Amino acid sequence: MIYRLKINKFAQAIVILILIGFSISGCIDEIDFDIEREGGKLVVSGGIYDHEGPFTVELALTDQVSTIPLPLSGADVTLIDNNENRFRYLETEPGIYGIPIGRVDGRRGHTYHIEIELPDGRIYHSIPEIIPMFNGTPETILDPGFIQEPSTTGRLLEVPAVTISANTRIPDHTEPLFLKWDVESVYSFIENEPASAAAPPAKLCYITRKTDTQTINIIRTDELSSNFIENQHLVIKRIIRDQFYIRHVFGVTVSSISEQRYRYWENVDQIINQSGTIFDAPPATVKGNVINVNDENDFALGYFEAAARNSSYDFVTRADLPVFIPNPCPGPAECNNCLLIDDSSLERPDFF
Amino acid sequence: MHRLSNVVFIELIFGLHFLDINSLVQMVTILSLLFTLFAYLPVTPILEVSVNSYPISDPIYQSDITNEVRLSGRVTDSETGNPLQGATLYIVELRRGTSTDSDGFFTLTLPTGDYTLRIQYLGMETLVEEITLTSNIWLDLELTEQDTDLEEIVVEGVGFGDNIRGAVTGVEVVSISDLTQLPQFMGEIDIVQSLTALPGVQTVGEGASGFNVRGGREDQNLVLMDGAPIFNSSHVLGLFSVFNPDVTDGYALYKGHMPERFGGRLSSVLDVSMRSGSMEEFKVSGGLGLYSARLMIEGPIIKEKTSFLLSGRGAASGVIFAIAGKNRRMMRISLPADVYGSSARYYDNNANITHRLNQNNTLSLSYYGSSDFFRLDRDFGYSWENQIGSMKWSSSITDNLYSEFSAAKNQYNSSFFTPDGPDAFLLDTGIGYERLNEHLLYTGVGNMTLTTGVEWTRYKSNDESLSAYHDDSVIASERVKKDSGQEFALYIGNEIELGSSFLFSLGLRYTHYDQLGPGIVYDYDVNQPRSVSSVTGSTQYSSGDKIISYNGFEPRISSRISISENSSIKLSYNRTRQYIHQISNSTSPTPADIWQVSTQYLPPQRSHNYSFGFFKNFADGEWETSIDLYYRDVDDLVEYIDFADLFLNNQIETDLISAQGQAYGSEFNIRKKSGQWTGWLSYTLGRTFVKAESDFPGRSINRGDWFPSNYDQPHNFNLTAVRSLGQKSAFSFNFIWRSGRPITAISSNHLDSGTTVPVFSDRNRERIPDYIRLDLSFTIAENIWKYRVPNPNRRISDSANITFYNILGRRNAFSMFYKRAPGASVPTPNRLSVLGAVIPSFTYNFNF
Repeated sequence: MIYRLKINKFAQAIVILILIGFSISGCIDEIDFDIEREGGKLVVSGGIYDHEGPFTVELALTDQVSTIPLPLSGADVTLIDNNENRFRYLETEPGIYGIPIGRVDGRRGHTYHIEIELPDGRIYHSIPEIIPMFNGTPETILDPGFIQEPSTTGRLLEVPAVTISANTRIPDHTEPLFLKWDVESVYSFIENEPASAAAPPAKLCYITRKTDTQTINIIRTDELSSNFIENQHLVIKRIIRDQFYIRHVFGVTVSSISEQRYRYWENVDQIINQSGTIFDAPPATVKGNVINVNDENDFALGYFEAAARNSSYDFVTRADLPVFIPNPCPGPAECNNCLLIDDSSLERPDFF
Repeated sequence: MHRLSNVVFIELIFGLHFLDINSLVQMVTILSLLFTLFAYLPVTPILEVSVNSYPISDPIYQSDITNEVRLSGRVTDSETGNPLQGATLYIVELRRGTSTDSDGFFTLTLPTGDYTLRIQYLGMETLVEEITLTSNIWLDLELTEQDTDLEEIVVEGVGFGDNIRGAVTGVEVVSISDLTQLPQFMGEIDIVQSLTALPGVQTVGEGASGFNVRGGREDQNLVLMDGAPIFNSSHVLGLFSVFNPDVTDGYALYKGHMPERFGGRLSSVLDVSMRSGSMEEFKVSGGLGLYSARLMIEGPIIKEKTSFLLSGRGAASGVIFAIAGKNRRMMRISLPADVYGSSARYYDNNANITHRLNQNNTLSLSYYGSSDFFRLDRDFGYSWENQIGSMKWSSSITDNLYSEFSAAKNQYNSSFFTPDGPDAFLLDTGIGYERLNEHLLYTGVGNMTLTTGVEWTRYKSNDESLSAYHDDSVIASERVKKDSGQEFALYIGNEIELGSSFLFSLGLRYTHYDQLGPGIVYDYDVNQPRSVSSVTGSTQYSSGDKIISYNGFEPRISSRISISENSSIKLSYNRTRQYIHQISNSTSPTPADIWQVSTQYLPPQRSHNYSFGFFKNFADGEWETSIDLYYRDVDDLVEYIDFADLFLNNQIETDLISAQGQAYGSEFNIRKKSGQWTGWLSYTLGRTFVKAESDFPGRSINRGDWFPSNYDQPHNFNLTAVRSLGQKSAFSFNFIWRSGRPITAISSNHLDSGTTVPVFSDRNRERIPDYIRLDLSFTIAENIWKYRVPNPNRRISDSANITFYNILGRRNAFSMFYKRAPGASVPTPNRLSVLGAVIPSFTYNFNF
């Protein structure tokens, strides 16, 4: 017995020595590193989907100083369908161009592309895309509980969170489908009751956000052996008390996208999840489908997509959570005006 | 010639019982000689006479022509019979010498007379022979292991004076004994780690597999384990090499001139020679360290006739992590969760049986097997295994003629897996080869050393196979057929000394390659970039069909011109071809990378290699200095389009782009070879570039401009020193400074559907910070066990090594990458340091 104890002590000492060695040796730390930037490159983000709108396109230009592109105003943007019908976008905010609801009815099997004329005369168009005829049907699964997360010192912490997963049924179809899952969350927030009866009544706001947009969930169905994807883990949402006091709705949207768009997301996934190890492929700028009509080597950044979408919603209340959620409003400014919260609106979503 | 040699080759292999082997070998030798003469030299009357008019072994021949005769022979280990590569032979009276080649052979041309010949090899007793030279003679010299302790280190075993006299440029010959007193990473004598301290040899960082020689890629190095090529020279993703120090004799690294007997790679040859077991007595040796353990048993099966050797080595971090995970609350230490879930382990074993058929013939059978496993938590993992079986038959047919026939078979399998999620998968790849080689060496003609041989290698890639990792995975099985091919080589060479000033090594290698069926070759629309959508047709080939062939001559020329007794210049030109390519699109090769043989769309890589060196020794050879200049250009280098999809791609040519390569530089080296302080200082200034240009928009890399390769590190400084502390104990240090390698950096970001998408600069336009490291090492070799437990009946010899790797604790960047901090809108640059602190190690070594 003593022999075993000694061995254990010795083994532990060795283990500690090695672990200390490794724990202080391998490391990742942030460093200062700035480089020369290229300005004036067009950035496009938008799409058309199988519904009646509204549809938006965001335009920006890269800047030599800023790490974020600056909104581009004054461009002429037009949507063109396979019947050569043209629908003009109107600039609603700097760099944001929209077609209001009801002007265009996106239809599966129809082809769409856009034309963009910049104020400096450059003209771009997108490679036409067809809204796919088929799409997967999701079912949202919510699992409130605890997850383990390492702290900044490496210590493992147990934190309350909701794990969002989905079951997805894929239609029988011979051609492969290219699917992308996105999760958005909507929660309601009610202001503090006003101090005087003469003041307007407390407002109820709805805050809509995309959840974990840096996690890319994509699959091509020809790699699957089944038409049913069960309990596919999508994202984890940490429980923050002011977001879970009333009702928190999670929506899972499945988009059926083109093969080129699928490859685009595959490449984006590759470059945003680099770990710096030998396993990383050389990163490169992901090329989209918007090209300068006068210079085929001039690709705009971003993409204009045509996709079919299906969504499913479910919600949790604070009664479902494994932790006590106190009233989140002891006095910050947002508690007296909920519209100060980012992404908030007084308009109640249909599914809420 | 080609046809004749084929016949000879086949008869050598299959008809040994029916032929007069001596006649056959002499015939091949004479043909080889003639070939060499006609191919390279203006045929002088003297040389014609020497071949046609005199018996090859006629001792009168030389003395009739000049007063010089030839002293040649072979140096071996008396106990194992292994040839000693790099042993020094020194004529005391003439202050002249040479060193042995990879087979232990040497040749010296000397005036007739009485001489004292001193033969030295590190770790062996110095042998002194009095010789009388009146005609050509052959000496078989055996050295015995050294028992007495040295008061000072004498590193004369490493080619003492050979840097001046040898014809081969850019060769580094190192015995395993040379490495025992140098800093040992994680307590292991590691050949690949030691290479990176040499001028012109670099790696992209800790944890990277392979090494880069003079601007060459990792797959452009031919790594030989006792003559058998290996595809992956690393364990644990590059932290250890596959060469167990207990069974390794030493190595030669050819980074400038590649002798004609080696081929199939563009950049360098690492020829590692392995040990045979002792013919005299049973021995056990091994070592136990913090990170790994090893054990070797050797001894005679039939004394002085047959020996065996068995060895095993391994490390298992999995055990350590498991204990740590189980007891982490008690131990009150906390590491990131993925550390506890991670695992890395490896083992390898060597076996050898050597049998002396008679005094002139030795047969050796060897086996090497290894297995590696690495898993990063539940994210992903690799496993790979390697098996090599080989046979070597060495024969001294006459005093002047030596033959070596070898056969080898290798299988390398690797897997990449993701163990979690509904799309958990297992991807299997691999490659194997069969290889036959006959090598002949003849020293019976004048001042020449003639070599010739044939070589045949057949490569067969495993089909790529994708399968579900577990029952709940929805991944569908998939299999992609891979290609196979065969390579045939015929080579001939002659090392000839003209007077005392000129030494030429003239070689020619002819290679022929066939891609073999079964397979499908797709045709593409020439007006579009190759892609799945530009296929216009296809051709199906049956098993064994020749799909496409490539061939070509590879001249290998090197020369030495002596300026004085202590200085010389050397020039070399090499043409090399490579028919097998590691398809790797990451910073450094990974174990699961595909090895792809040449196809219609993947022609052989070809390079021209030029080298010029000036060598000068001082203080009777105690100090060696050299300057080497090199230039290499490469055609049909394999490069990858952005976001190349390399796995499970049955049209891999659609993701590859043919590129040009260029590397040039200079190496400065100062080496002190004897005295209490020994070591070397080297500085390499070198650049390496790639140019990938396509006629189609968006396919060129960096618009078709030249850009730095992943391992372009212009400045590389190294200082290695060993201070003898007597009794074989020593203190040593190793200092490295080199430029940071190129990276591709983020220039800006944009949003797409809420996702922040980075925009990158041109490929490899930026650089990570410089790499600086200092290692310290103490070797204590005072028979520790003996003093603790005196036992005169046990002859235990032991030693201990303590190394502090990266004593400065510098966080050298392996790479720089971008990640988005929680709440941040854009990703920020981060530095990854693989070994960013002091790594202590302790190893106890023993043998009895």
